Amino acid sequence: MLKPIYRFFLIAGMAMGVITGVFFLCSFQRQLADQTAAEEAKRAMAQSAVLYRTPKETPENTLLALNSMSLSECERAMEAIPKGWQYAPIAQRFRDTPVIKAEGLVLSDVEVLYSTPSFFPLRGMEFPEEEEEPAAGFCAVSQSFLEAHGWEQGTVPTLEIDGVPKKITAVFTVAQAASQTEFSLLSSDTSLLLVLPYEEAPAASTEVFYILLQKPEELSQTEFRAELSSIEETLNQKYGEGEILFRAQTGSDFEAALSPKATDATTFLGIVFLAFLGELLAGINLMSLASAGILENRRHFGIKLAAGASYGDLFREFLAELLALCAKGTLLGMAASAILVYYANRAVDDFLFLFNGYTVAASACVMVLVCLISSYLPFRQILKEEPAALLQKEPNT
Amino acid sequence: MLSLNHIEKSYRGTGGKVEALKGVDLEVSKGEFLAIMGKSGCGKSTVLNILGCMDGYDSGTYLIEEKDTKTLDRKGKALLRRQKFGFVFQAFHLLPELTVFQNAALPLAYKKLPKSKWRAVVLPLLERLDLAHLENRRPCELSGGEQQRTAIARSLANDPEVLLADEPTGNLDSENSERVMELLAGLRLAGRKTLVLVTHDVKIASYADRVVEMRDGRIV
Repeated sequence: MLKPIYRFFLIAGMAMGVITGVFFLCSFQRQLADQTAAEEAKRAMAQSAVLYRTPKETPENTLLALNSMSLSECERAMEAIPKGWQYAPIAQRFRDTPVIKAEGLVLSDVEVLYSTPSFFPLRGMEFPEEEEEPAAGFCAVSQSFLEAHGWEQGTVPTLEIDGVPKKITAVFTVAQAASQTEFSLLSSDTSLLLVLPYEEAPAASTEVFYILLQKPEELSQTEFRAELSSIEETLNQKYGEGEILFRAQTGSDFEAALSPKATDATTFLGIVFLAFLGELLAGINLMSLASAGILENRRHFGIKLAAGASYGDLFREFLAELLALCAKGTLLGMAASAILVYYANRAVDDFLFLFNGYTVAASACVMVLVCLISSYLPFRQILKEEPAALLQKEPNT
Repeated sequence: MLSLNHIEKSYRGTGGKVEALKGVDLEVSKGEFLAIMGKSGCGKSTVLNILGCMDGYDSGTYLIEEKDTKTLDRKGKALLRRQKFGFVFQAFHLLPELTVFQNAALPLAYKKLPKSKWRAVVLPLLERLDLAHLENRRPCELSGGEQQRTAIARSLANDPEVLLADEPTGNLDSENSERVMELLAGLRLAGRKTLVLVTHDVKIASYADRVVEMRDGRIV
């Protein structure tokens, strides 16, 4: 019914609409996901606290200026923690890097941290079900550690750390930095070896970054904060060294570090604006194309009515053709948007489009609806006219 | 068979209301070949459109086999066009994207005749009109005479009782005009069809059994 040129542009318009729609929805989904993740992180952080040492003048809500603790200072701090609380020190050897061997070969470029087994539940990580709780002689490694050495879980040989054999109990992924504080300690691609338990770390050459604490369920936030202040006070009274103090802060005190970067918001708004503009243009394009295509085909409708078609026949033909064009445009748009989203995610560093079935389906539905409505409106005019009038309003063949 | 009684019809033109028909009375008998003559703008095409249920009218009555067409809705009129009428136009009005065969078979699609039976209906028509060898051509590849013969094939595909032809030779040279008229006249006789033809050409009108003349929206 429609001329090939209109069909082509209608399909292209549909595809364009689906693509921009996908980007529009992907951006929204991303933003929603970011918000949800940030809220979850805030909730999780409110359930934990960090006990560390820092210069007296350091502003609160930062860990960047932390002073590491010696093992003896760490032990003192742990003594001040009320019984029954879960905690885990995060330690690293600075002065004397351990020698790590696998099958007699020395492994280099490996960050080694020491902690207690409680580090895992505190970080929301779980050991594989078949494994028992890690005990002495066990360690955990990051996924990047395995990848760096071309191993897979289960095929890793027993490691030797300073001659002491350690069996790998768990493989974990170092999370994307939830805050600037964490980012300053480790990046997500760190080849990391976590030695458990912490008690076995050689005392002389180990320093502790901080002690991670879990809020006991029975305590409210206020009570938790009060307890932390009490720990802080006790430690500073007993072991305070003038300018360097112990400080205990809940994770929520670091909220400022979690707030989205300004560039993220700007990128998001920019993408949403462009996608919305694209969607609007695609809608207008479809509307004018359908309108022009239908009006140009007035005579064809007249010919078909003269040949015995009813208005219902014309409408069914029109709908079938339109849906076929919509389907082609939608498929094209889906394929193109999948490719574009893939490349956009590679090109834009601080933004990740969430591409999934819901996004595509919603975008396709919107465009099909726009196409149907925008085409039906001019078609309705045709339905009001007598066949003779439709035949007269166009130049002859 | 077809009876127009004091039909009036007006249009809203750019210069205001235009009275196209001012009380037209016309009887068309079954099997008759009637020619309506008149100058351009006298209302003869409007009469033909009303006869074929292609256009409405303001007042008067139009009876088809004693049935008042005022009682018919659009669906009823479409059914009448499908069953009773075949149209031939001056401008041929073929669908450019369809072949000769598909154009000729167009009424069959709306008659809901299965596609498998189209050839049995259309091919004899094309052969009779000397178009069988052109069945896969598109209208743009045909001469004017061939296009008009294709339009005639289309108008006959649903085996109508009445053929309505609006200046069927208006775009043809004299040789093709003669051929088309002979075809129409022959087909009318062979199929015992009623033929109403609109023309301004006396020579074309001479093929008809009866000629009526129109002037300023009236039959004189």
